[in-house]
Amino acid sequence: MIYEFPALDSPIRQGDIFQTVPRIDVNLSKLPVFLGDESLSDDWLHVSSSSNPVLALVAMRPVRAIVITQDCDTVRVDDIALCEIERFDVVEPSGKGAKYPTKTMSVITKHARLNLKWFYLPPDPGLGFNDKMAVDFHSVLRVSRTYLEQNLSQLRLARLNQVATEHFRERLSEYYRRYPYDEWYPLDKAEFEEYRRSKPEPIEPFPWQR
Amino acid sequence: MTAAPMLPPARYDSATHVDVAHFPRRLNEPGALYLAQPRLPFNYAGLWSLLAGQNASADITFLVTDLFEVQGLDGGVTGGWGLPPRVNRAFGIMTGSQFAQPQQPQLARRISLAEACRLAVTALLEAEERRQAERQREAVFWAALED
Repeated sequence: MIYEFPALDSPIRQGDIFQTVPRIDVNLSKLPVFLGDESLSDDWLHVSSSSNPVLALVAMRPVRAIVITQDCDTVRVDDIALCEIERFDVVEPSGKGAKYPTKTMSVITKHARLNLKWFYLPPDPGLGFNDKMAVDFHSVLRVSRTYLEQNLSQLRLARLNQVATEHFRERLSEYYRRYPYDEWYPLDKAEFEEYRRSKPEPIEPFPWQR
Repeated sequence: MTAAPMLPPARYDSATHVDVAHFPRRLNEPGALYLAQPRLPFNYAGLWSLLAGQNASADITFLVTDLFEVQGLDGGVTGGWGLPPRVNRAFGIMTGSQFAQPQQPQLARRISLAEACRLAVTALLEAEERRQAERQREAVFWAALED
């Protein structure tokens, strides 16, 4: 499909797909930390108030991920940034149960234009993608470049081909180009009331909508 | 302008926020209060990196006068941008939404190694649950938009 398999000595590039990337989640209000011989459950703000590094126990889950760091930086930075890859129906629950091409085509193309928070990856058993997959732009991971380079044969699965890479970098930049705004500002009073009724959260009108 | 210790905000803004008192501290930097010295009145303090990551727009321009300094008690100064009201109004950053209420940190509690492991795993599982719940909420939102 849209993947290619780079030579082992090929440098890391944006769009490279890795496996076994560590994802770390911590609860900062109940952080299991070690102070001397003691283990404590403590709040990060409290435990970080000393000038020393904090020794803590964290759980790490190995996940698949795709490089988002751009090519110029991937050869020199200390850490590479990646976005997590998950099953498509996990990242985009509206794709759950979509079996027929009419529906899947709609979700993959139409929703991809509307919802800029994921990037679709088609199945390919060659790299272990037995299901439709998606990049979740919300989930950003950071891994040592040196470690990735030293273990490319075990960690790198594939990379996006040229066409897919061009789409990927565009979607990635679109994701980061977004900013919040009050989309109801140009509505007239009647439209605003309809808009307000359609939202669960309280929405204040602009002066010209009162 | 007289510098005064900056108190944690009573409420957090919805889009992005940086609580000046909670700036991530560098290693070896003493935990300390920060003093914020705004050059203009501001009600929203955002670091450029955060804006660039989440809300950057070519339509938003920042004046040099928007700059404020955050000074640690050790004398170190960090620059940042305070979004003045003109930006807040234009982009509705100050609109009401759900705000995280400041909470008092829980006191440290001695635990066993087994409980430390349990806490670590629980944190991971809870984060995954939250992530999935958020995806479900998003799916409902987009489905409604499609209708």
